[in-house]
Amino acid sequence: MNELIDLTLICILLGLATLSLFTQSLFRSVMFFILLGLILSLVWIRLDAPDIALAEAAIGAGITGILLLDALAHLRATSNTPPQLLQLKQPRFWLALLSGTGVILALGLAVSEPLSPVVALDLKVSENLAESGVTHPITAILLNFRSYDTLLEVAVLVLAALVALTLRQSDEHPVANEFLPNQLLHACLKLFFPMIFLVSMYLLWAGSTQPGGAFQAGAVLASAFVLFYLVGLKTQLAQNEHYLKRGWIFGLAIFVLVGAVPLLQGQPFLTYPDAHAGVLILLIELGLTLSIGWILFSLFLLSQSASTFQKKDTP
Amino acid sequence: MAHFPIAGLIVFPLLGALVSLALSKRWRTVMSFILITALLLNNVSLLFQFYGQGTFNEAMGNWSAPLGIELRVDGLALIFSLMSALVASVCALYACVYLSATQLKLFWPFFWFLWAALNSIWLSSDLFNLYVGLELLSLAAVGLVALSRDATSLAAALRYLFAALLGSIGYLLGVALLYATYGTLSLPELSQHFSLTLSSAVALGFMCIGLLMKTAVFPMHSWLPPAHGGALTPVSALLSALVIKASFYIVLRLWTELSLEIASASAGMLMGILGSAAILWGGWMALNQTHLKLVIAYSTLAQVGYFMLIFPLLSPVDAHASHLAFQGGVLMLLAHALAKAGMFLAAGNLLFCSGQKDLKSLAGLSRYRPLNIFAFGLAGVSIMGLPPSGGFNGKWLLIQSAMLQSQWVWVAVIIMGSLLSAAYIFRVFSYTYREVEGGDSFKQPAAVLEWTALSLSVLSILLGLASMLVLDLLPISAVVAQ
Repeated sequence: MNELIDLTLICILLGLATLSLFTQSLFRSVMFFILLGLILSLVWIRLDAPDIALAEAAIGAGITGILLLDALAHLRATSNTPPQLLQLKQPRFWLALLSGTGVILALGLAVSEPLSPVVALDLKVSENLAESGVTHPITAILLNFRSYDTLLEVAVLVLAALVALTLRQSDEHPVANEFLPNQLLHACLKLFFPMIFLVSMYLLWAGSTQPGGAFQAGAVLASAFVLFYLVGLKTQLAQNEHYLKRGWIFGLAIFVLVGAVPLLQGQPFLTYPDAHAGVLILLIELGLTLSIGWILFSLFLLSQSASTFQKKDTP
Repeated sequence: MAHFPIAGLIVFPLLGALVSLALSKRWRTVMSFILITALLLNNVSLLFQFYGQGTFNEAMGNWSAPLGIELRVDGLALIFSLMSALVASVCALYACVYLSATQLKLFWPFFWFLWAALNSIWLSSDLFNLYVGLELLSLAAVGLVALSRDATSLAAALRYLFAALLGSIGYLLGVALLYATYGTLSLPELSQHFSLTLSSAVALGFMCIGLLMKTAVFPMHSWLPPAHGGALTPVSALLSALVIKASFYIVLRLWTELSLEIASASAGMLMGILGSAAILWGGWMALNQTHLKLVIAYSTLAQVGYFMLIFPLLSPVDAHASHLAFQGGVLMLLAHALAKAGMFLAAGNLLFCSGQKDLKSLAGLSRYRPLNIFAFGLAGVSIMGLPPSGGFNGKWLLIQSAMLQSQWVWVAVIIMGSLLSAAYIFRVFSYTYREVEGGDSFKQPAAVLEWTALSLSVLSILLGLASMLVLDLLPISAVVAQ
């Protein structure tokens, strides 16, 4: 039975990937891509990785989908060249095909060998879990054992928002925004927003004992911000570049400060005192959730310039 | 406070990024220069710590590898950290005068993230951590290229982004395979268990291709000239001097830690062939450019080729020759960082004077700005490899190693490459000595701009006189198989 499910998932996955690559209309390929993200999150569940499944559903299918649709609308508004179709005459098509096949073959060769890891890292994780301040191993790895990686990853996110801001400032076609003044949407949002917020905070809180955590919670929070924006509730925060930037760096600043305090006490960077590890991790995660939500929303906000054209293009 | 200097290399740049995003214009600049001073002092104290206790590891969060991430301070890491500190602080000084206020506002945070990424890469001994560092580095570099807001540079930035992402994916794929095979991400631990099986060969292949793409080695180089040539001057200097070194550094680390020269001689040969092609192609293209900055960008392409010659010269048999090649390569990397940064800054000044990008517009400048031409020339001496520069010593060591192993092909390539570089540098000079008819109208750059360019060029020459001081930091056993 399980094999049947897996096989079906794989077939759907391959089918969706092919469709999104080779379909004629860009809008459809974006739609297929969003579907691909959803199916992929199911695959992660089958692979026993619910944390990644949550992140994939929220970021891969959710926020990425919004950004892609937005980019599509922007493309339609500003460029008059139709999207180029694959041309079999072009050498770069054959180059891509050849190197793609090569990569797949090499990967196939590589995994054909039986894998028997010499070092059993999972055992080490469970041995040290008690001292990490949380009981969920993924959170322990992300925010304690390998917190240095996470710190740099958060810096990458801030940087991504900053690159978006740079590109935004060199955009020559700023178009006035038009919102969706829909009464029903307003009413729904009043109902939904507290729930979305609650889900986000629950994901954050649950992260210490079960799947969840700052990245997933942040992505959910970002979707609430995007909805808010779409119904036209402009916040003063989003208009002011200073507030925008301070929102981005809030989480990173908390992380760096919490990590640097032990240095003054003669401990290595990012060492949490044993007694307070759990609280400190929660504090960092709270900061990260807010900042990640804000950054993902900013990516959407900064790409907003052609939403006027969105409605008439929707098939 | 034994933990301070090493953590400072990461904490100070991150603080710089936070501060430059949060504070107002005046405080941003003041704090940035305070932090640059702090980082320079920090590097010096790390150097003293290294002299005191030799190579040492630092476990982040007090979790030792393989569970946690360990940073490692050895001679190679220290040399690169010092190099980036020197080049970055001079470039920051230059940028502070050269860029407009709106450009500076975005320049500072990118600059700080770039520096944090570089330091994290120099110090890291963890494969995944290196990936995160690479991501940070690429994004910061792309952002910096996009700072100059004309359409061609934006296209170059986007192209750079795609190349860098493709490189990252290749590297990540390899890391995942290695993790699946060995169950660890820590480089020292991996080197204990490593054996060249099919899957690890495929993994290393992916990693190397990805990293070489980010370094712009010959067949995967086409993103570099538009990105480096089209960026703002201080950005070009940072990119050419430091950013491409980072991915190359990881290849060098992997190669020496995992003793790949023993595992596969043909791989080293392949790297050497790619390098030779890069030297000749880059030199030839530099000779045919009409824009000054593109000449320098193609020259970077050729210089990357020299670094690649380290790999065929590392031999499992001849420890002495391998050591010479390693030293020569490191010296080339250093000399290129200093000289290329100096050259880009000097070129930026020349372009500022004439207001055009074309080589022809340089006519008459050698009389008007002799100091600047001198800075360009000194950097050129090191790039060409004339004594007594760092570039000369590096090439000399490489040639010596090749002769010891009777691998004459590489000697020929190095000499031909030097002739080509002499040709394209003197070609630039010949343009500056031309006289223009009917008076010239040049703008005058600020004195700081000229002196910063000169200081880096002088350093690249001084490196030739003080090579042993630097090379003594490298352990004899760095190459000899563990």
